Order: sequence, then structure tokens, then C-alpha cells
Amino acid sequence: MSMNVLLIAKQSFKEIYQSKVLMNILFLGVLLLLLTFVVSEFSYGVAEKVTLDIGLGLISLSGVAISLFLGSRLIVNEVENRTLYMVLVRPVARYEFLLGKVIGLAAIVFLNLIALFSLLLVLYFALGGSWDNMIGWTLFFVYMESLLVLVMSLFFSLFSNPIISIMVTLTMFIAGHGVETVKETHLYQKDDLLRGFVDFYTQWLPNFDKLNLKNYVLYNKFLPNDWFLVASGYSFTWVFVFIVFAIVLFNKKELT
Amino acid sequence: MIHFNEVTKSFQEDFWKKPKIVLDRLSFSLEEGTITGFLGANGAGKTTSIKALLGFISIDSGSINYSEALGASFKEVRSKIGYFPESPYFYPYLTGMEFCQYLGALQGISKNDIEINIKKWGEALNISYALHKKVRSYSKGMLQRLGFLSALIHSPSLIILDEPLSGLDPIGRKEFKDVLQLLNKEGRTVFFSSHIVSDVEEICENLVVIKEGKHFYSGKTSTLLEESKKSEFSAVVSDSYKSAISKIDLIKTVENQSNGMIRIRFSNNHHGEFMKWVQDQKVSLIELKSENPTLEEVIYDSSSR
Repeated sequence: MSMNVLLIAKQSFKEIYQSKVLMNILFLGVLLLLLTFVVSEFSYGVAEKVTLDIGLGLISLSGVAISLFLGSRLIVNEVENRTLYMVLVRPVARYEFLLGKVIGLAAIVFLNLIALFSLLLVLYFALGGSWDNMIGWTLFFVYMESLLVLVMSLFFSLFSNPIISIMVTLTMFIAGHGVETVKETHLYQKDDLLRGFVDFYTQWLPNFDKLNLKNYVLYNKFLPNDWFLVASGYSFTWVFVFIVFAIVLFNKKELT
Repeated sequence: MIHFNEVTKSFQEDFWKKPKIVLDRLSFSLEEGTITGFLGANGAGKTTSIKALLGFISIDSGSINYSEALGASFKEVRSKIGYFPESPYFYPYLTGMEFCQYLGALQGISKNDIEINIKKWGEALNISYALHKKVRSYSKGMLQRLGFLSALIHSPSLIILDEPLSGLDPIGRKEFKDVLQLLNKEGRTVFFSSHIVSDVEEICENLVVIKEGKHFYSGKTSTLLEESKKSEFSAVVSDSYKSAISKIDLIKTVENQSNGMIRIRFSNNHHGEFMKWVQDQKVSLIELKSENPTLEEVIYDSSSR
């Protein structure tokens, strides 16, 4: 990776860090503590499971929200504020700038997830939970899901605006989580049009359900080893595809 | 150093509207080692030209050629350009020093060289005292100075500035002009846009003037002024001579002044005859001057034609 990418990533990280977006950790941390207290009062015997369930849900939500909102403004802000002119007039390629910005934001998302996850583990162990590798894998896929949302919202923002980008990404995120559930319905079997659409979606668009491990962790379901490999490859491929598309678009973008 | 060759650029403002031509077969050259002013009214296409030159926007047709002295690849060319955009914005959470160090690092120059240039140009631009403060606390003038400093951080051989003097007080304008002249003395090429003609007239030996995206004039400032001389004299005398003057054929116009005086105008060719008349009539002459238009008058009068 070029030095320019790292310099821009560091700058991007600093910029987002200073914007106090990580205050979200404090907010969600307090919320997690409160919910855990409530849960331990009402869920006899399985308090640690419910805490893990709520905690992973909150962590996933916060990663996706940060990626969605900041990803959609990552380059747009630089164009609107004209800061990118000061950078791109130097011997810096546009792809280096874009990658640097993405890595900076990805690092912020990572920091956010790790901080909340650490708090969650402390609570989980305090309630008597025990470590399972699946918990670690869940965090990994929550991160990959956030990364995918980040590059999708960035990509869509390059040819629309942040609001449209957020709406499209969010729609695809919800649809991507729902397609597998739709497949289990009676309507899917009966309706050719719906079946055609869902099949097309699962084949050609990101299927977020493939990255969702939470139910497997909570109900101790078994997953074959190659599942992790396939799901990792699937998520990396989609992140890569959207980054490549974003770079192609950004290279052609008129910086008026 | 840079040659614009029949450059055309249009923008599609709305999907259903015809594209608006912003640069219309624009051609001009930028000579190495000169200080060139880029003039034109607001919306004439100055910023668009600069953005095309720096590769921020594509052009529809024509070409922009860079001399070999700037480099073989566009990346190399950019490493030798210092650019200062119009109304720049900076990362507010950084100090001025951190901002310059960041841009210097992207330029690939050593920390030592960055420090040397920050010290040299920070003092010349009178911003050294504020470099350790956060950018968010800077005034508009301070931001302009920081922007200019950041454009010079890597000792560029071509400096392109888009409206660098806007928003500066008279002292700031003077300091900026001094730095521009100093840069030029060091052998660097300076190209700066402005819509304020007097600033350009004061320091630029060369001019490029555009009007509605079209080339209007490029060349020496002095040549344009020389070509635009009206070959006319004007004199101010007491209005008691008004009736006597009206009998002389050589006088072109007579204007009443507010203080009991009249201003008369006559051609250069009649200078001798006029002076003889002054001596014969023992006229007390208050003022006599050659009528040369200012650059502003030349450009905006001609532009409006």
C-alpha cells in the first residue's frame, strides 16, 4: 500500500475521530449496561444469552449506522468543502485518495466495534457466559457487514447525493437481510414473479443474510468449517467489487 | 510552459437543457518565468480553465500541453505545481502547522524541507505566529495566508492561484503581491486569476484576458496599454476662456468642471498649436496631460463592446 494511502487514511481517521462520532460508544455502552441490568432481572437462567443477543444486535446496528451515514458523506464532504483540491493537486492518484478515506473510516468502525464488543464480553462473562469461537466470528462478520455498507453508501453517493445513497443502501441492506426469509414463505413458491426477483437478488446483489451468524451463536447451531471460508470470500468479494466500482466512478468524476 | 490549444468545455446544467459552453475554443500560452495575470469578469471561465489545467475536470475538445520542464507524466507535472483554490477550506481540527506538514508529506518531500519552507514562507506571509493554533480559530485573511503557504510548501516551479487576493485587507494584499513578485524573482512562473484589474496591473508583466469563455487578449500588459492609448491630450483652464476656445478648430470637446474650470480635449497632433495659443493668449494652464486609459478601462470597455 502506498504511503499516500496511509497518510490520507490517518488524516481521515483523525477527522472522523475529532467529529466526536465515537461518542456513540459511550451512549451505546450506557444503553448496553442498562439493558443488561433489566435483562438480568427478568430472564431467569439465560441472562448471559439475552445480553449477548442484545449486545451483538446493538454493535451491528452501530457499525452499520456509522458506515451508512459517514460513508455517504466521505467523498461528498471533501468535494463540497474543496479540501480534496488541496490534496489531488499533489502527486496523489484519485484511487489513493479514495482508498485512504475508506481505510480511515473502516478503522473508526473497527475501533467502535472493538470498544463495544469488549464491554459486551465483560458483561457476558460477569453473567456467567463462556467463550465460544463463534462469538469472535460473529464480530468478524458484523465488521464485514459494516464494511460492505460503507463501500455501498460511498459508491452510491458518487453519482447521486448522500440522502439518495443512504436510502438505496438501506433498502439493499434490509432486502439483503430479508431475501432468505422470503424464500421460506408460501408466496415465494407460488408467485413466479416474486421467485424470479428473489432469485435474481440473491444471485446478483449482496445477500447480507449470508453474513449473519447471530442465531447460530445464540442457539449453538453447528456450522461446517467451509461456511466461514465461503462467507468470508463472499463478503470480501462484494467489498472489493464496490470499491473497484467506486474507484472507476471517482476517476471519471468531474470535480467542478 | 503551458499551452491551451482550442480548449472547449461545456456543462450540462439540467438534463433537458442544452449544455452551456463555458470555455469556447480557448487558446493561450503561459511563458516560463513570467508572472501572468488571468483576467475576466465573474463567470468568464477563469476557475474552469484552472480546473481543466489541473485535471479536476475533463475538456470536450482541444488540448492542454505542459512543457517538458514540468515533467513527462501528469503526476510529475502536479508535483511541480503549487495551487491555491478560491475560498479554500481546511480541516478545522488541525493546526496550520499540521495541515502544512500533511500536504508536504503527500508531496513526498523530506520533513526538513517542509520545515524550511514553512519557516521561509510563513514569515513572508506573516502567518508564522498562528501556525500552532487550530485552523478553526483562523480569520478569513489568516486562512488565505495558510492556503498560500500550503501552495508553496514544496517549492513549486509553477504557482497557480485562483483569486488569491479576495478577502484580504490592504496590508494583506500588499504582502501577497510582494510574495508573488519575490517568487517571480526566484525564477518561478506565477499564474493568478483575478477580476480586480488594478491588482493584476500592478504586478503582472503578462496578461491573459478571457470574456465569456473566449480568448480576448494574451501578451504583455504594456503592449495592451500602448495599443490602447487614445493619442489625446486634455487640459484644464478657467471657464473665462470658454468663448475663445470655442473658436479654435483643433478642440474636440469642452466639458464644464465643478470649480469654475473647463476641461478641453484635443488630438496629439495639435499639441504644438494648442501650446502656441496658450502662450499667445497668456492662458493660465491648470493641468495638461496625455489621456491614457487604465488597464481596467481598456479591459472592461473593450469587453463590453
